[in-house]
Amino acid sequence: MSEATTHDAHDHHDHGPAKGLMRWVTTTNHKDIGTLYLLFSLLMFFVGGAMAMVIRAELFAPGMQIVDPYFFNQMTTNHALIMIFGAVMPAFVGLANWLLPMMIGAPDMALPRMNNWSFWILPFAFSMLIGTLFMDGGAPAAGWTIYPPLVLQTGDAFPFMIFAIHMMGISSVMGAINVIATILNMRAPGMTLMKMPLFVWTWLITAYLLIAVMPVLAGAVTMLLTDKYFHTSFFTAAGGGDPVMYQHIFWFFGHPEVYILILPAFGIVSQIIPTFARKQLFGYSSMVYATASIAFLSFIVWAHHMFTVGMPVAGELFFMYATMLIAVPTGVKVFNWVSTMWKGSMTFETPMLFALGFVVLFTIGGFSGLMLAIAPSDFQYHDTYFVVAHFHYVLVTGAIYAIMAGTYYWLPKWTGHMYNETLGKWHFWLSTITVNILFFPQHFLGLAGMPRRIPDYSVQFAEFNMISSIGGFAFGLSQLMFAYIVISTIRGGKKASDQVWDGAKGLEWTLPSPPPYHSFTEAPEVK
Amino acid sequence: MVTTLPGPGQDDYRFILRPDRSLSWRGNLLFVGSVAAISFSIGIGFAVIGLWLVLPFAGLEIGLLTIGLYLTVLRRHQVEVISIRHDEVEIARGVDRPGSQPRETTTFPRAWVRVAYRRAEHPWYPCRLVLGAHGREIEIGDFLHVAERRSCATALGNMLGWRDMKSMPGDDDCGHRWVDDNN
Repeated sequence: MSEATTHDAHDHHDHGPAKGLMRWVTTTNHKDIGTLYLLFSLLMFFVGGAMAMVIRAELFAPGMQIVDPYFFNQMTTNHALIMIFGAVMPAFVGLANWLLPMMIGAPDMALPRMNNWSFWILPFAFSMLIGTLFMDGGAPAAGWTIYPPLVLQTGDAFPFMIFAIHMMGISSVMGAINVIATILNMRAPGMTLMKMPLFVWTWLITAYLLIAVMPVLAGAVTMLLTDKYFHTSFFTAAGGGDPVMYQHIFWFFGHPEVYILILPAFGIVSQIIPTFARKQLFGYSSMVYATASIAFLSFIVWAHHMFTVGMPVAGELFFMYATMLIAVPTGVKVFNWVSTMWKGSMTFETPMLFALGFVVLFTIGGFSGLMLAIAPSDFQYHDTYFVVAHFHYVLVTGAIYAIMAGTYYWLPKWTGHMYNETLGKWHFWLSTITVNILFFPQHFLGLAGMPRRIPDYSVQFAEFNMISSIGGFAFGLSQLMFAYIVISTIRGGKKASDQVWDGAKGLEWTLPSPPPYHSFTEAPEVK
Repeated sequence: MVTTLPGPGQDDYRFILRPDRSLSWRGNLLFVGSVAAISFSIGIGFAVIGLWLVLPFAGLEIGLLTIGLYLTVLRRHQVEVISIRHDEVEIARGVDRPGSQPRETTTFPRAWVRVAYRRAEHPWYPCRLVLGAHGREIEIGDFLHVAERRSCATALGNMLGWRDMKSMPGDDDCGHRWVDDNN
């Protein structure tokens, strides 16, 4: 029996978190990091939103009036990159950080230091990306898909953009690894896989998707870099490469990425609707299997983004039918949400309003997606404003509505204060009216033939563009209410109870509001 | 989780302390294997058509995933065995895996060992369970929930004797204070 070294009890790092700003720089606490992600995401939402305002201001009337065409394209490109990688994804990671440990009965995330790094990479990545606006040759302007050969004409900004994308990817991968390690290994006793809340399930599957596709993005952008600076010819036709192959590789990443942006939203809505319908979620198992099916199908539908490049008919048929198949598990989800509400004792607080808005408006986006899936129709709609309308219904009234619903739902738990319900409802109704004024006319513009990514257009499109721009400005202004409500709730307000919502179920509601710095001083009881 | 077992002698006891864990080594291995199979299939598929730069990134990522899961599983499979024998108390630490040996063993004379359950130096952190004698101290069960630590402290204290008994903190002193500080 050896006599080994003993620990001095004062050696431990329990002196408390650092003070002031350094607390946030050095924190490894999942709640602190969740807060950082969510605030960063809110900031990026307004930065990306400001770029959208520039786009809509230019498109307010035909002709060139505010910005030059090249700057317009910089705005569309950076708006998309910032909203996707800077607003929506970090918001979901923030929600995951705050909620996953509390939902599965764990004290923290599995890899807290890595969690800190994965957040703190982001401000540098986005500073670099936004900084490209001030470089010689301007920011990248080839669209968020950064197709060669166009993107290879980017000026000094090109390597910075590639590096920024790599940093965003590293951050996402580290976040995904943390989510997987936490969910698999740190569930409380009794929390079996099929007892996990839907938000946890959707995040586990999202993390799996991230792990599968992020190397594809990293490889693709690195090959662009070597084509530009190291004389390789992966995608350069002059050297024997194939630019269309870039589209394949990009969309092999890009389509699962779309589901990375929406699956956690499905999870949030699946938590909220049962609470305010005061019923159990209808078809829990089918929800889990539907999520997994959507994730699987996301790997075999990528070429529906490029029907017009000239594929064999067999290929078009395969990708068309595979894409249409996604409507089945998605339909299962919508059916289950509606069935959960059926004969429920529903009330319509702000989180529920946003969740209902999600169900209705996301379904509109889903249907326009089905239209785009039909190859012969897509030849008409491809690269028109119809596509812009489609993916904004999916991402704004889908992903962002779910994030807002989730924020209103869990904000009282996080802060210990109730938000202002009247202002919350105003925010919902203003957003919902204006977002439809903003995006619905874009369907008509697309069907009439207006191409996307252009700063000027034929006068026949003037009215719908003007309506859309007015909706855009009003939607943008409405979001200032959201920032005000969130900040004022953090600063104070009516005390929230621990349960917050009477119909809410799950381990997070067994904790005090706000929860202690370290959750679950008692072993949680899983029912 | 704390398990108490009788030892071979009349006054002998064993306390086995483990953190919550929800997946076995094998389960984690299967998971990494399935993810690696998919990631490498994608990487190799692209390499075959000439886009070989996906493969090294897939390798790096799977390496990172493996390290992340390995560290997590290692932490989730910690075990501390406190063996209370006639004349000594032995604290053995190691990894809960078939065939593995304790990584670290500490012994105290039973007559002198005392138990302390103390506030952490900052109120946001849980209270700490400490065994000590002759000026040496060792913290145990830092992976346990507060309630488990407290009940383990009570059982050990009643068996071995207390230090700082008068200052034994209540539940409100153990990691609950953030609420008050924040308001």
